Amino acid sequence: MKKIVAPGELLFPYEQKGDFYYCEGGKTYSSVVGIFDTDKKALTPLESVYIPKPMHKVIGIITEIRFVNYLVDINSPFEGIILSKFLKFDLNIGDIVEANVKNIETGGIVLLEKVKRLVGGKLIEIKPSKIPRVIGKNGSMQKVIEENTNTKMIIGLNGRIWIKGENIAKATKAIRKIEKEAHTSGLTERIVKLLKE
Amino acid sequence: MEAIDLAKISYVRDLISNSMREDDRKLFEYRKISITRNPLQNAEGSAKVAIGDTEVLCGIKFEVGQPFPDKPDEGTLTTNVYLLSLSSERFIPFANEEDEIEISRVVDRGIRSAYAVDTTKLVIAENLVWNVFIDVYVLNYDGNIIDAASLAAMQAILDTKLPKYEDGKIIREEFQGKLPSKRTVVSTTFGKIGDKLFVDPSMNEELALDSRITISTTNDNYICAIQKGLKGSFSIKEVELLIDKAFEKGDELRRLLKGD
Amino acid sequence: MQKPQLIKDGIRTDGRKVDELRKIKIVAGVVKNAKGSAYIEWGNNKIIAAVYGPKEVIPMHEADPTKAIIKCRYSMAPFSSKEEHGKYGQNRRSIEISKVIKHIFEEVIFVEKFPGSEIDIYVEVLQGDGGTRVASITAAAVALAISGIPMKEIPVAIGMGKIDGTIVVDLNKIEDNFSDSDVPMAFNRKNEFLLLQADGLLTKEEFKKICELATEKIKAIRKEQLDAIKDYYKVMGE
Repeated sequence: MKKIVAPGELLFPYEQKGDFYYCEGGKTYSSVVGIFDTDKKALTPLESVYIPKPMHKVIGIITEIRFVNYLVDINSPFEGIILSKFLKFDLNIGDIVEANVKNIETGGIVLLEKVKRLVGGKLIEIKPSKIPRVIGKNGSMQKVIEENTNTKMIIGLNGRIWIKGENIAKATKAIRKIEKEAHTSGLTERIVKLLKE
Repeated sequence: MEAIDLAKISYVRDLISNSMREDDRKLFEYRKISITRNPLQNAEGSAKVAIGDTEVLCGIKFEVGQPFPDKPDEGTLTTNVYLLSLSSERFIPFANEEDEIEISRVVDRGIRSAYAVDTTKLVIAENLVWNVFIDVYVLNYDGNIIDAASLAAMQAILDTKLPKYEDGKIIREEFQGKLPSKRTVVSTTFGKIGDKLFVDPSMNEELALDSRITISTTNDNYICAIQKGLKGSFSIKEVELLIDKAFEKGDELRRLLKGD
Repeated sequence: MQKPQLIKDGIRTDGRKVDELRKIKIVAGVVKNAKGSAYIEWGNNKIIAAVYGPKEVIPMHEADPTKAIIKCRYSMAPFSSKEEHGKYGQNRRSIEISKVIKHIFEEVIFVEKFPGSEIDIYVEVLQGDGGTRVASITAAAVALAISGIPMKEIPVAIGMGKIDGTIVVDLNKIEDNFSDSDVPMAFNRKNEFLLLQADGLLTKEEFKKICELATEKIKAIRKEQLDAIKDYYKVMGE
């Protein structure tokens, strides 16, 4: 059974660690609004703030050029950093890059690696908590959008999507619809319908 | 300036150069406009207007006091538009004062020039006049505050009732009629990117503007305010073209206003 | 203005009984640009709350490297009063209210998760009729809940007081103006105080009665908050 839970609602009568849980008095409570599956004993947040973790793929925008590194905006209260010595090319302010999170250093600095520059195309931002739905199971939703709009998308877990190709407007429309209806069922059919219009 | 702005600007400029816009609008097409009459009961008149996702709320209040020294035979009018921090991440407290002031003054100018609030009929006695306060709150920002605020102010004016004034006191629960108004005014704001001109810039389009111009018009075919904004320039021919567009789009906007 | 009779035969100036709440309606997600937002109508009060962040701190020197800082701004619109045209901006009253509201959310938000950042809570009273601070807190709590910023719980607030010598629930403006005592309160889910203020003169017994009545009445307000959250997701999707 699935039900909507709000912050402060009791989830487990024992302690359970999780990104969206907190423990008090030996019990576990929700810290966000989400859908709790009482059978699977799992909570899916309906909204969340993006917190970078190692191996996450993110899309960043270069904001500052320093002597030994670049500062990168990753759509998060934490700042990204790319060390110049590991880069084979130069970057400019405003450049859009695809990168992986290597590590989170103390003070909330996010070290990025495997940097690739993204040129041309359009960058959009959606709520990070909706990104998994845009990707879909094994990338299925992403594939559906790309095939039906003749585009290529790079999707960052930090809520940014870079789209290049033919029908960018339609792809954007589909993504915005997924963002709005991410938690509903039958979404895939409705997206396919929209794309085939 | 947010990090993503450069990306947005280049995308918008690219689209506009092909006479296209993000939401599939034509160059001289407004976004969807909705008007709500009198959403507030404490104000003597009010209106809420949405142009696309830009949403503004106007409230009109009366006080009684002295006239302005240069206009002793007229009531006073004070107009303010507030870029509330709650309406956008881009509005940080105290950082947008110049923009607020310019927007407020442009909205005011149209109303004042055309006597959309007929201050000549707001005198109570010698040195005693009605003071009209038009305040517009921006509730969500997605570009073109000037037109949304002007439209909300005009609708609120149409729905404002003048309270009674007896024995030196305003009796706010009782009214002596409508707020006197000589003309219906709306503003139409145009953006310029490269050599392309277009109406009703969205927030992303505003980021990319080379220049901007607002032309306010009346129901009896006068221009009652013009403001060229930002940097950039316009040729005389361009402005003449936009004046025609201003009357055309102005009439469309006026048709949306609801009277009795 | 002369003090009117506030309760006559157990009925108040707006027709309510002494323990009756005004009608409350909350709609979540009204400010598209905000991380989370909510609009509340509480009696004749009309208030919008919006949340932004966590984002970088401006000015930078105010940042706390160990946790997020909370900034709160409560303000009344110039057209919010039935009477005079108000002056825009902050005054001493609105600054105090902003501060006590801020402390509530400092307590319930998991600020350690976002070191060096700030979370902004804005509350604008579009129309006021007494009890704006508790209505603001109730709305801001919903705005935060749908923002995804992790919290311990959703605070709920209620305005209690004493008028014409009688303890009453939810004072409107006239009652507030002529009250013997005005007691705004906010609670966490364990019914502990996150906000507690009082003025006027109260006996200990009167205060206890206020607490009893308040903890009973907030159940209905909590339901409105949860309904607003559930409706928001219904409207968003299926």
